[in-house]
Amino acid sequence: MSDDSRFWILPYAHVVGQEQLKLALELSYLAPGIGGVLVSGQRGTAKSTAVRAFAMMMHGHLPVTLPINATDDRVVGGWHLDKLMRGEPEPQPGLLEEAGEHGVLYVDEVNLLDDHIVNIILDAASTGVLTVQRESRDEAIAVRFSLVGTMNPEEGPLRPQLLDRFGLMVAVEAETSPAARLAILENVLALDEARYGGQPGLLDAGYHADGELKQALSAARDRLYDVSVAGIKALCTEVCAAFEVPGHRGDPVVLLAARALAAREGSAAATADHVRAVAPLALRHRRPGAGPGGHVRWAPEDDATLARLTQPAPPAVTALPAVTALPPVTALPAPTALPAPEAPSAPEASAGA
Amino acid sequence: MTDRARDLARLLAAAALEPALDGILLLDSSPAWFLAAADRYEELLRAAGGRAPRRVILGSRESEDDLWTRLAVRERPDGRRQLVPGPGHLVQGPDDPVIVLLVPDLTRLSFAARRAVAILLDAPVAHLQRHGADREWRPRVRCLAACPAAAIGQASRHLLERLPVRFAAGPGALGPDPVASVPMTAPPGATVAEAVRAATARAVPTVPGTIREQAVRGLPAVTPLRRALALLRLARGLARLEIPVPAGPGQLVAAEHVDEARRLLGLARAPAAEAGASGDSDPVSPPPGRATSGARRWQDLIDEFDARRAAGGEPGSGPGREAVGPPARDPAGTVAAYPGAALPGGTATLPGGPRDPYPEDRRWTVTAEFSYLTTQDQRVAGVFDLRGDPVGTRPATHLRDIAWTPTLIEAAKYQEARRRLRGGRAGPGLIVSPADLMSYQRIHGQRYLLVLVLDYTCLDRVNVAGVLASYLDWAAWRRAAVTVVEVGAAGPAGAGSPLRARSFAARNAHDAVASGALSEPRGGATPLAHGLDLARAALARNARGDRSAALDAWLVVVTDGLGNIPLAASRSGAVSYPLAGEGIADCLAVAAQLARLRSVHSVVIAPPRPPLPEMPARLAAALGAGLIRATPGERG
Repeated sequence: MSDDSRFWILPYAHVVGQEQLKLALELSYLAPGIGGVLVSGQRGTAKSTAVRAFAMMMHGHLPVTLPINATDDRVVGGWHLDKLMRGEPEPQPGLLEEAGEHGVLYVDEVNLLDDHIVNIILDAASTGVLTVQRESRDEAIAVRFSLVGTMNPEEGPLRPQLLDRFGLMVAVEAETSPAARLAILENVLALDEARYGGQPGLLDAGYHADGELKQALSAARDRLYDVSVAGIKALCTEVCAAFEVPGHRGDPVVLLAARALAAREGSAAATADHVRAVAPLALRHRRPGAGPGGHVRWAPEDDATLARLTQPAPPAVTALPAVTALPPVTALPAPTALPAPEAPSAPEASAGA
Repeated sequence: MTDRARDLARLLAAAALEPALDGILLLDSSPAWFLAAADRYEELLRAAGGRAPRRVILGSRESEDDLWTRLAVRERPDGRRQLVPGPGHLVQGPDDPVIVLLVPDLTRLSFAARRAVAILLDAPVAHLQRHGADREWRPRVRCLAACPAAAIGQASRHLLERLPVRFAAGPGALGPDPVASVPMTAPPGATVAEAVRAATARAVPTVPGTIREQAVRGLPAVTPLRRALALLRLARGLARLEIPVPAGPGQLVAAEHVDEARRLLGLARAPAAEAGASGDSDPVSPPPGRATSGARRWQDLIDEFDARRAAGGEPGSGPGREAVGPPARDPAGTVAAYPGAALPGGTATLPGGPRDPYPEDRRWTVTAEFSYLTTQDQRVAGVFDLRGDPVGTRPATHLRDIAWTPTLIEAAKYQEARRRLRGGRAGPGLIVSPADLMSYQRIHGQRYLLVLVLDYTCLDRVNVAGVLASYLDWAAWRRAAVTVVEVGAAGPAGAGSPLRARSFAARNAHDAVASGALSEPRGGATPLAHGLDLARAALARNARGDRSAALDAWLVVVTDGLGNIPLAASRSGAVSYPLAGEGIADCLAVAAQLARLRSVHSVVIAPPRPPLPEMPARLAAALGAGLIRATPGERG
């Protein structure tokens, strides 16, 4: 229950850089079946800011948020305590049920969650059913939600089972270019002045831009299943096989993300270019040997492999008429390769033990 | 009043005017000095916000329920009393005052308190989802923490990042009145609080683009942006303090304010050429009366303050005002209080010597076990253990560790129903059923083990910090116990026979590093076989498989493999010449025993160019270990 509607969240348009993070959030919105986004990065890289700004832009309210110190009654559901104490039992929905209604469950610092809470989330996320058998309640509630999580890998890794529940993963790094850092400072100081200096108009341009992007994304979501994926089905399986992705969860995620990207661009069909753009997001945390919790390597040779697999590009497709095309993601920055560790991944190798 | 006390007053005053500047860390302050600073900070916040803040002291004992939940007794209409759960100390409603979190020792915060600080600081929104409470609010929280600079490695890096405003006090640098009036542009005799109150009537100054650019240029590209923001926000607070009255909109932060903010924080000034360039090219006109040098200007203000006081405007004469002494002056009496402010490394020279406001950047430390914000995993059903921090509750299966708050909440839910069932037979108290009892889930004790075998005769050829960092970080994250085996260290007189290795057990990775391991001088002999045997003894407990054993263990051996002392010589303390490679044979034999231990992962780290290149590989093969070629150390 909110006691203050003005949380002063930075407009999404004012989030500087972090293009891969923004792309992942937008794709997950366009195609909820992707299964959510995990954002891994060091402190101060605008992870939480971007997630909250995106939710505010698209929904006008913050996402259903699971704090790290939540108790299980609030996760699973219980009773309204004050009413119960007056002898008026009234069920109180838990956060998983609320997330099922809104479609997204956001966990800030997801790797800090206590294990028994993680187990509850995993049960509901994997089965699509929230089972409440406690405090005289016995219910099975259908819940479908995407997990959006942010984490700082310095605080420890994520359990592999939970890692696998995220459709896409982004490894964000701090902006180091002076121009980007200056832009960030400018935006945050403007937020300060709007918030404390009585000049809320400083952010109007950003909110206006957010409104336009929201409309464009909503339109793109409506046409998601108008996008043909006939030309990339085999390619998606080929890419997943080349990167030795275990199981079958990676294939549909790559395909769905490519379709969402095509819809975002206003294309009639998803192409190899779209697969190439989304594959690192969908596969980096699914590859064998990928360490838990974001210590995932995506090297330049992986880009080369991906480029080889996705060449030659299929014939150009005609853009659908009468739709507003979002800016094409034609030049995604190459995923940053983590340096090869000097030691074998001692912590990672044993983390799952 | 000392210069540092005066500086702190400025810093707190500027911070009080900047709500987003919510995390301040005092380095090397005494407890009395910290509490005095806390009193002054609250006074300034009251001046800035118009009402007294609420103080919450965070220490080593608070649990989640202490901080986030509270049970209150409520009188019912029928006269009966009822326990009602409600939000705890850290939850705020829209009309509640600002909360000041006081952390006397950042290294001793409880697990729950560490999480609370991370949740509340620099956060646009906070959430409470505990025991039926469902709240979402905008935190209005300030935090004033203290930490010895030498112990900074024991504090959570997560929390340190949220405390970007630093102030180095220095031992013994403050007198009995640590914080007192500071001249701003307030009327003669005005206290800092009055200056802050006056400043709240002025608009928040704008930070021009040139100033932002100067701030970014003056910091390394890898500097966390929170620090750059803290610098600019502090400069903006200082500017707001000294803008003359009346001041209209459109006031700007000037380079002098940034310089002064840098000095207060202990940062080096921006490079001279750039600072000069910004001064020349900055299209922003300084406010009326602004001097050309920030440091000079502050000295001017101090001079002016002294002159006012000499003229009868004694700031310490009014109620609640403190007596102040003359400001410290350099012999020339004309330059800034700390003339040599800038050091190349980014620190400033203070009276107590060089101070680094961010010592966590420079120290090679591992994160201490108690500074992580993660709980240990719960995957193993261990023996019943009352030790460890509570991380949750569950229905009680015994009476030894009852969680009373959740128990009473659980019981309170059903009071009405139970009273009805009992009719008039119920007394006035709470009716508690055995089904209400809840016990704590606690963090388990150490279940992981790291054994380091360090061969000092080759250690200076290895980049030790680089190769061991990941293992020590793993140990810190896992709260692993650490055993260090030292081979071939010279050691002090009486440290033992050079024919023997020695070992010690550390409670955690931080203690292992802090103990001075890795910094011993090299000795002459290399009793590597004995060192491996000591490691085997340490690991043997792990391999027994009983309930106290560690789940997982790592053996890390840093050596070139040239163990020249036979195991028998180490045990007897006497060596028989000539030696014919018995030492190496013993090493391989002990290594083969180690390879048979269960749940032990091993790795051998060799210097870049070992004298006998095949030896590290043979040792690794005998251990069943991986082999790593380290990067060169001091001697390459």
